Amino acid sequence: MRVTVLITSFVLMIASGVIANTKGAIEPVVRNIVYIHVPASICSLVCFGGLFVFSIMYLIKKKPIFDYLGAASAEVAFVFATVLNITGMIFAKAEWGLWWTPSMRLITSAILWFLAAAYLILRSSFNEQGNKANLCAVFGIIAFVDVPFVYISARMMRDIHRPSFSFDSSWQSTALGLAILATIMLASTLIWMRADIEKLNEKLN
Amino acid sequence: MNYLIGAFAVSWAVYFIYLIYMGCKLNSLSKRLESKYPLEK
Amino acid sequence: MSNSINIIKAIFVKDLINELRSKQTFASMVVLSIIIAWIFRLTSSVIESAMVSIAAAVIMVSVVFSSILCCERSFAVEHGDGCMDGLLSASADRGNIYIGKLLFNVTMLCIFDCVMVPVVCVCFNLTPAGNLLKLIVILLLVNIGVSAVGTLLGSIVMSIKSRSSVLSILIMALIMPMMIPAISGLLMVFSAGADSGMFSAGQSFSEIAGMMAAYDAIFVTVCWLVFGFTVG
Repeated sequence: MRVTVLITSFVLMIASGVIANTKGAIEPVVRNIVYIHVPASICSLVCFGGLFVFSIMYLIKKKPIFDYLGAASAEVAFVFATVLNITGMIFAKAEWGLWWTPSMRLITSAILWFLAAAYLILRSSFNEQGNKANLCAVFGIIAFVDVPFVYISARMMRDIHRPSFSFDSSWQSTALGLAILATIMLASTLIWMRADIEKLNEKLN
Repeated sequence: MNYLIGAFAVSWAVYFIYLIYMGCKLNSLSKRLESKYPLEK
Repeated sequence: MSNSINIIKAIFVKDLINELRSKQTFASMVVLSIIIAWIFRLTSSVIESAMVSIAAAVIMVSVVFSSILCCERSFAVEHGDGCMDGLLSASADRGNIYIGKLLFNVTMLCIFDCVMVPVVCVCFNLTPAGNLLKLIVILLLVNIGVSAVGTLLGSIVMSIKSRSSVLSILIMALIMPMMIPAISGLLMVFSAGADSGMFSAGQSFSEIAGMMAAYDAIFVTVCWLVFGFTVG
């Protein structure tokens, strides 16, 4: 099942790439990074949302599967935030010649990365006793509540460098939509696999 | 153009490395589980 | 309802009396802020025009690090000798404990600000000329926001070995979006409306205060709701 989803996601990515290359290329060429950057951003938000939902479900129902899913969502959110940051920095370097500057998008991606990293650090710093799952679920809830404030406060920064993307043709929006769909499928598979790893780890210990 | 290729390469590398790492971990954990609690056929 | 208020008052007064007796945390907060102000003052003496930004930075850094000390202490003292069990048995509603600790942390930070901000102003030759009310509002909102998050995180890290390092990472990640309007407001207060650097010159003070107040309100509510699960 997972392999099917992965292959579908891969095919969709290739399709999106082909469409983007032939019909939907954006000028200047480096702006094509948006086909990787925007899906990563949307996926990391989706993973944070998943973290929130799974944390609440764990606190209500106390079933360990929700704890595993929550931890998996946080780790996958970290991976996507890393990709988001790296592509954002490469884009900033190509457009404006700087690796990083306190601009709106770069700040939001950095804070999302730090939030995911903080969850992972918290999760790995427990010794054997202590109710790890409860505490991590609480932190997951607060971390998600923080995310809208990240976006709102980043808007207050001056020099909103980032041009707003308007689509020149419907091919571009198709390519972007396919890329987003493919990345969300990839994300769900990654979360599933990671949660399974947690479950097997707990069974073995 | 180089930046574009670099960005694509890095992000796909991150995705694939994470995917392959998790696949191997899943494999090894299932093997350990199976050896610990062998399925009775 | 009056029972809740009694419990909150009791926890607040207990912590306050504890701190007044030993003055340990407050002393370390003040010393930390003096060190920060000293170092930044020495390095900023080269660039005269950057004094305002560096002073705002010094105030923010001092507040954040001192709140880490304060919030860590507020639950670390309950860790041994079964103090936490005593607290839990005092009230059926866990939120009261949170509100009591929150009030204590906010009060400590306010007292600390009263000591630190004049020192920084003297150090960096600043006058919050006529903007004193705005300064008080910003500092109060920052204190409430940082304490709201810090108190909950203090209870989360209570059972971890390397408490303060994990606590600082967690607090830093969560209050980053509140620091942006706070610094913007401080720059506005100290530079008396001149160009405030990288922050949008078109920001009005009420927008900044509104966003910080929204952050505070939402986080106090959410943390109060989920606090019960951390000590359960």
